[in-house]
Amino acid sequence: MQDSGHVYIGSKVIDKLGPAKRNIGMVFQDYALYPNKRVIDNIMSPLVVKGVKKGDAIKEATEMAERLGIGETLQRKPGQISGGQQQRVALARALIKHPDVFLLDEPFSNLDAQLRFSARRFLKEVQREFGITTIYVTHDQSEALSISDRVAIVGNGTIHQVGTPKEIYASPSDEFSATFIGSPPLNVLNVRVSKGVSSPIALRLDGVADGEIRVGIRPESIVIGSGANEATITAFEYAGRETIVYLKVAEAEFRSIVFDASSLRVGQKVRFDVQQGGTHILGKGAG
Amino acid sequence: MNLPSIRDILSKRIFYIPAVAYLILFALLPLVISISLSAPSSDLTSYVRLFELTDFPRVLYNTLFFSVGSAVFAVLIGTAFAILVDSRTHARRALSLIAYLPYMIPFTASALIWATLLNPGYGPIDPLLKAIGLPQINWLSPSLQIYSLTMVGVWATIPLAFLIILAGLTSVPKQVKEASSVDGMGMWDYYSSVALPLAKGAIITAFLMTMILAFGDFDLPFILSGAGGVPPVTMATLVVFAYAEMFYEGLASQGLAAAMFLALVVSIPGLLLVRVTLGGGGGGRSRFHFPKLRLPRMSFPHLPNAPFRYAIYIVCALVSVFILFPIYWMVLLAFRPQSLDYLLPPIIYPTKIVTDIFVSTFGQAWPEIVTTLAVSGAVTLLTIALAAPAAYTIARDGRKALLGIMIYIFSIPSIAFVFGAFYIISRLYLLNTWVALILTEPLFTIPFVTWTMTNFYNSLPKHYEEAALVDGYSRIRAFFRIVMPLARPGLIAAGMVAFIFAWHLLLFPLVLSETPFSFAFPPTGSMTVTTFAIMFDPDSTGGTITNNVWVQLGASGIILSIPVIILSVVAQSYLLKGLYSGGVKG
Repeated sequence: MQDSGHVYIGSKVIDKLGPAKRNIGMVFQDYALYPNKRVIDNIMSPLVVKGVKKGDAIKEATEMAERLGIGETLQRKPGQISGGQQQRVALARALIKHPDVFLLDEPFSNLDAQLRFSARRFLKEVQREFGITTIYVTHDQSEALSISDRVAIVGNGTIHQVGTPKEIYASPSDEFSATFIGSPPLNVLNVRVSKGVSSPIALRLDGVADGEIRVGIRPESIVIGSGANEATITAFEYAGRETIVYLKVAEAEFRSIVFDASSLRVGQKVRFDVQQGGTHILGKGAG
Repeated sequence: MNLPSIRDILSKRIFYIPAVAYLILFALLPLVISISLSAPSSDLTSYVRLFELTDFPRVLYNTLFFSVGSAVFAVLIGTAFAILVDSRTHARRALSLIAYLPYMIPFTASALIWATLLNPGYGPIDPLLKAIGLPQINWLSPSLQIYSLTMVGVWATIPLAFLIILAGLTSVPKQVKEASSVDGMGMWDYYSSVALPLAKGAIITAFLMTMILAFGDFDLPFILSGAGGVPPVTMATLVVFAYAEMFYEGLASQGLAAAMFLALVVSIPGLLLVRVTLGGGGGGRSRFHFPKLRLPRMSFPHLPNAPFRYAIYIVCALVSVFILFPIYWMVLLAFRPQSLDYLLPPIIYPTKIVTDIFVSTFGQAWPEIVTTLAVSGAVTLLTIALAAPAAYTIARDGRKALLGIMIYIFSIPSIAFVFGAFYIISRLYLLNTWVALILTEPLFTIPFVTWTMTNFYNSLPKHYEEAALVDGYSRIRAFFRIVMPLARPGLIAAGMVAFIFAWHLLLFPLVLSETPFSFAFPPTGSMTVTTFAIMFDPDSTGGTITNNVWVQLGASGIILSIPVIILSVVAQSYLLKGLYSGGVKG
């Protein structure tokens, strides 16, 4: 129940409707399939309770299962099929009602990393094909960026920002959304600005008043090689395609990304520059 | 490969050796003595004669009707109540308490209270039925006795069935329940197609346990048929028949044959219970394999939801009256003037509260209360000391066979052991002493507590002990230093269950005790509160109404119930946990 206001689906107020009458499809975190029922019975259960004739329900459920690629599992029980298949059964059970809105509560958190990638793509295809508005809850920022048309960042019970993935990445509204999105995460540090010049790191800041401010810098926009700043390398983290380099200026430590770290070593002093647009002012400093 | 040292072998088995040694001495030995005495001339004459008795078919019918009937109705009512509680979000605790209440009243007290309730003429049920326009019935007439007895059996076993089935229903994952409401399932849809099929194991366990309990029950049929003396054959079950043959008719071998025959019959549900409990998975490197029992498929027709909801409400409302009225009646009896006892028509509402008889009964029962407290306390300690390590090795080393034996012993009726135990205790010259009861009563508590503790240890994470073993603790030290402290909630629950069990017992104290405890030296006397209470059985003195004091009956019923009520109130969650896991896991 909401504390105040109304909840709409389309133009329909659902404040006082029970879960069944809201016409929503929902996929639960651990799928919540009925363990005692065969896959076919799981998929058709919303139809059966609605009073659809058994023959029609079986036909519809079979079609749905075929479309989602689980046609061969229909006679088995949920315990006898794989995690990926269970998830598709849960999707089929939710879709068969032709819901107005589709709710997914961390549906991929029980899948391994490999499966998660293919499941993500599959879900996006399904969403396109059925054309149902889908609300997808996740703690995985890369999942949020890759799968959605629009992202709402929720923290401590309030919405921090709503926007397309690009908007959220490029111009986060506050420190919470800035640090939520991006891997490796955003560097957050305090800098002192006086007469348009910042220290200890020189940043391109236009029209910023003098004083302490808090800034976020994307690791990928710190370019090592040349520039106005000098830092000491303190550590490396090898990540395959790229290497994360830890830099230290005065007391501040932060991350940068390089693709070839072969010429760098710990303790070395390097020069670096912060690219335009890579800096986000997050608020007054010392916070 | 090195041969295992004696020390290694011992440290593996030391956990269950004490419990097994106890059971050999006080379960197996009495059983063997009973069996050998049942056939004194080493043939089966007494068994054959049993089936030639003209009354025997009737006794057999009574036994089957009482046990199967109690189990069927207790499970049906327990299921209805469990559905009611499980389907609600509010008032779950209060509703649970109603279904749980008869558990707080020991069987002995229940039977006494029901004996007054059903008393022809003076009992309050007849006028109640008359008030709503039903014919008056002589509940204790020869043709109806067995059905009345079964009704009391149902009343007394509803809590057990309810608790086990509720545990089964609430074990359905929350998300599955939520999914069913998103799918549009109503109450009937959800329970018929999801929750009840998933709780199938719990329902079958509840059925088997209530049936086993009723098969071996001594207290209810013994008291309702008039404690002491030969019971009328019209309501005798095998247990009271065997008891009367052994201790009143002086036909020990005949009675023992009946008891052994009963043990054989109960072995069927007993072994089924073993299979249901052990059949379900759980690794372990046991040499014994219990195949999983194929449970029948449950399927129900599609029915409308709203009528089902109302049916549940109506059934539970009626059952609540059925459950609550006897308890109300007991309290009423204990605190009203004696002059109201035998009035026509009976007065069923409170008029004047009198406490002096209650207080004097309490004073009168003092030696019995001291005895029962001391004996039950000692039995509890002995039980925990032997059962906790045995349960630990069952859970950790997968000794399923040992658990199977425990459950099987639990299912054998006490009447099968009692004569052998009596024989051993009299040979030790311990009759009518506390020691006699302390030695023999763990026979009932050790198997049940081992069973519940096994479930508890199964749910206890292993890594603390593993860390202790890596740190160089021996297994025994790890058990005492690491496991026991972690297991404290389970031990407390198990201890309370053991205490309540011991407090309830009637048959063993009845046979092994003669007089109330006297503080002289050497101390003698070991009558317990249950044996005290049955002195007030309204049917036992056969018609001399003035000797029967219903007030004292109500008072002693309350005295019997007080420890259970206190334990339940103080630590309800501990107790429920202990009981829940008792019947469900597996």
